[in-house]
Amino acid sequence: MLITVKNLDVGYRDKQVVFGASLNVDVGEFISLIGHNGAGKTTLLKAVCGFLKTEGGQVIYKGADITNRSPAVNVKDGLSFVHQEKSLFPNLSVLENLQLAAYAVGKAADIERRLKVVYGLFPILQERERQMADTLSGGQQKQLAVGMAILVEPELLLLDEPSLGLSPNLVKDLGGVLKEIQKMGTAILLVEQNVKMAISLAQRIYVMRTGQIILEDTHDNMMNRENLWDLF
Amino acid sequence: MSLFLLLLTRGIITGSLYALLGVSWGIIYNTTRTFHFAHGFIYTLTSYIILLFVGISVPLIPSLLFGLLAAILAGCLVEYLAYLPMRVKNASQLSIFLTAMGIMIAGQSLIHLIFGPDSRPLTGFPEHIISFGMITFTTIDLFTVVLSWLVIGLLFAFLGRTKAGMMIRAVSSNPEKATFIGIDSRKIFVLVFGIGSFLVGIAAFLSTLDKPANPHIGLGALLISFITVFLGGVGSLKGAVLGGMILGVAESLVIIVLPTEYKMMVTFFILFLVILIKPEGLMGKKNA
Amino acid sequence: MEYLAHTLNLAFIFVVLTVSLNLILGYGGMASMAHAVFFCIGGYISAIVTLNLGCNFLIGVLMAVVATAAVGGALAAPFIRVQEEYLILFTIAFQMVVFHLMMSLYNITGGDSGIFGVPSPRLFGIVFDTPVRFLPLMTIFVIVVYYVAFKVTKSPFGRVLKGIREDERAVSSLGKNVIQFKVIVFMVGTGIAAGAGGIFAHYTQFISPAIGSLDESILIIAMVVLGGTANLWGSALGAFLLIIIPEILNFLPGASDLIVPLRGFIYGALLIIFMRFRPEGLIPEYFHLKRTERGRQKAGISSSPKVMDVGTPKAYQAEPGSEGPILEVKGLSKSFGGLKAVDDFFMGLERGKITALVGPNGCGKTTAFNLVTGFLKPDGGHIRFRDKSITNLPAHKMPQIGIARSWQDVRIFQGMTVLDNLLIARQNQSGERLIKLFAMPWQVKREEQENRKAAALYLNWVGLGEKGFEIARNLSYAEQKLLAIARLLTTEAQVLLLDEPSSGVDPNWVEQFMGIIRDLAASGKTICIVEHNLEVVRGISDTVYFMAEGRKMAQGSADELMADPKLGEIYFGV
Repeated sequence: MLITVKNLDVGYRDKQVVFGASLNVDVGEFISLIGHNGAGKTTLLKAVCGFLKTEGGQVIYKGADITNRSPAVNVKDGLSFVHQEKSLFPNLSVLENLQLAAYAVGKAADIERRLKVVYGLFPILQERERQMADTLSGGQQKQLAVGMAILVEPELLLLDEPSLGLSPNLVKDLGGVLKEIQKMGTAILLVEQNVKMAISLAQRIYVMRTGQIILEDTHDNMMNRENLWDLF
Repeated sequence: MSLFLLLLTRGIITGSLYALLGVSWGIIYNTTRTFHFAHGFIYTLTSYIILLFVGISVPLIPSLLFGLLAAILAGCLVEYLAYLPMRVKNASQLSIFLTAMGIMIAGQSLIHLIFGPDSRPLTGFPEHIISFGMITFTTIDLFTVVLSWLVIGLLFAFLGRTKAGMMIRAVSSNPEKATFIGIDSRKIFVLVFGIGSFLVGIAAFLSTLDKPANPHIGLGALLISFITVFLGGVGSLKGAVLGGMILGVAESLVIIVLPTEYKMMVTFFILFLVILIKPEGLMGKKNA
Repeated sequence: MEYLAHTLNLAFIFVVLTVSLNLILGYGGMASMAHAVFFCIGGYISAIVTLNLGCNFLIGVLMAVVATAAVGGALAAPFIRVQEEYLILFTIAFQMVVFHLMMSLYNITGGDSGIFGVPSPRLFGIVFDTPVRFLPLMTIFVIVVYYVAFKVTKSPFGRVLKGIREDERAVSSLGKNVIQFKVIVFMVGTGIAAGAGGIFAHYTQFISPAIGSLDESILIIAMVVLGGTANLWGSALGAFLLIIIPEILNFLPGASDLIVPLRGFIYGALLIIFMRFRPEGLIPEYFHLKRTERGRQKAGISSSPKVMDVGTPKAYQAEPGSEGPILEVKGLSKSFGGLKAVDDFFMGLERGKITALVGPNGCGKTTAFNLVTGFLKPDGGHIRFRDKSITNLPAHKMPQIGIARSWQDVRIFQGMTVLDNLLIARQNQSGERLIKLFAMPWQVKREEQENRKAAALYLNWVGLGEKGFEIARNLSYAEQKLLAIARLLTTEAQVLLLDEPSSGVDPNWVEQFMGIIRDLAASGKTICIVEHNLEVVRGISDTVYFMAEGRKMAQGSADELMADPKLGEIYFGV
């Protein structure tokens, strides 16, 4: 397994949000995490990446215990995260945003090749290279955020509800791009509110409710499932 | 008409200095969101250090360099020893403001105690009058405008074209994300305090060439600094430059309409209105 | 002796200024850098009135207080509208504008020379023209000010202020007009400062703009902070320290020339040391709280209140039935920019029933919730409660008519006791109106006792009866959620709107929590919940409204809706 999360407890001050959550993602796998709003999906993701402290449990990545390790170190180790909001530098240009993303892993020399990859997936970003990030449309900003996250050539990419605010067409395109990224060898852990999309893209699906993981199932089983309401 | 041109010229000259003051405080505020009120003390300190060295017969340029060095050092120390520990403890805006005020008052009082209250002029710069038809100004005025814009230009070049400059802009733009990608905010904060103090030191130098220094000049400079930033736009250095020019020219031209006593009042009234109506300033963005 | 009296008089004036600013800053939460200006204005009004009308100084001072409080009230509105981070700057700008104005209006104010010959106070034939003679007058003034300040702060009015300091929106949602409270506190604070100004002018027989400068305002703020915000005795200590310490310098040999900068240096250093190392001031509020606990014990109120048996409160009796929904929403709409968040929305809440509002992200249910509870103004449509229109009713009026809401993030007042959290939720308290507070203290006391009984009742109902005097922040999260429910009940509102009530509830406790909400409905309350956790929705709701794209897509029981494939497509995507 590329990453294993064991019995993670996460809370804010005195309010616990995630109760003993366990999941895993294998190398190159596409995993989705679904569940009702407020179930703790974002909190779980943030704790895995080191943005939030855990109260208990473990995160094992590439054989090493990375529980509570800082996000900056995790990025260098191939663990990249796309936030729901505020994931860009709005007053800087598209190119500068990407350059800064590369800064995180200190591989500025390799940036030309990596930029080609990102521009290949998101051609519009190359068109608008010199534009300020906050002048891009919502969908384009999402593309930039994902572009920044894959610039560092991560082994595992975590995304928090990337389809939020996107039109259905853009959502479909995004799904296609994520599949392309998976083909390049990156494992993906996707938290999505668009349940059908999350299920159709993934090989395995976890369901969360009231802070707990209540189900783990395969793509086929979930696609054929009669009643999704019971999971929410 | 000639009065208008004269006042306009005056306005442009003061406006240039105000623009410099604005960016000196603006770069600190935009990046760190700290109400650095001790900035006024750095201004006074620089003037006095320069005067000290000139007083012992050190030539003007090395004295200036010593003054700037003192400014940078003092600015970085204020951040490192005073603001940083308070931010770490989540101190309120008011607490940080009062600490800054304390530094300002204690610092300027100290200067008063050491150097006395009398005004001290800075001599040693060739002072001649230049005339272009109806417009007159001095070499010091010319030097002020040229150096101010040169330094402002250098600042923008630094921010736009260097890696350090980009990192500063990143921290300004999204401080959380900057930390997440591994930028050391603490170092960046100290850096901008250093840069801002350097800039205000230059402004102090230019001002003292023109008008003698006294222990209390810092407050006026400080007020101009942040009025300029808030007028022109929080989060935008270009806005600070614009704000400085507008303030300088407006202050000068207002004399046509109102008696001189009302000058300061007008400046503050403008600030009062700006905060009430559009607190993010002319070129600022909401939640910048 | 005269010198000592003079120093004391000076210190007392600053005590009054510090206390009055503490009311505005420490209790009202407004960082005003302009306090000295009101002090100065008061002095000028009293001086000008007594000089031109020849009346007694008391009239002059009274006019100063009233006129300045009125001006303060008029100015409070812009003060309050300005965001917190700009407030310091805004009040500095105001301070400087007025200061420079006073310096410029030579004909009225005498410019920076000021006005001489302000008459000394005259009472019962005695002229109080020396510091020693003035001292008793000053002492009485300080006592009066302290009386007023304590009355204001240790009352239901003060309790609301405390809530405002912590969480304005929560206070609003409990039926209090936050802006009104802030304006009143501001008026009281500036009025007192003006009174001090008047007294000072008659004491020194002179008034000039110098006492209204930015430096003076900052000095007063420093005194407040030094003594501790929201700590009235501390204010006296702060004022004394910052007046006496520099005065001691007068005794240092050879210091006369350097007095001003020396004082400046010490005062600046004190500011730095305190703010950097002890920002809570000399006497922290926590210490104060402990003493209050002992005070309560002395008053005969035990720390763990016994269960009070006062029978069923009227809220528990089912409402006499009338036809139709108690709350109706018709054609409600709201747009933000070009986006229509709520579009022609219809909903009706039946008495004694639990209605749930569900829908995918962005469907508009939160916006609809905020529209119905008065936190947003609708662009179109109607809201009717008990057959009366309440369409544009502001949020703080809702509990007053019987509609109350809870918050997803609880929002209880962490720094207050559990009991105070509930007491603040009682409606129509005389003690929250200053005039009644001072004029009819017996009524205030009586109401307070009745309110305590009601609060204790609701506290017992949720099972927190033992924790009445516990500080709210010490409660566990689950207990805080219960407290929030008790607080809602304490408003005696008939209609309760709960925003994601199960949020943050741990899985072991969800069942119990659902039971509590069911009990609320059983006792006659009408409940509406916005929920994402469909297990909770299935478990407790009588009717479910399914929203998408700002409109009601379907209405029915949970089972009915979840059997509809079209709704499934909307909720889960295609």
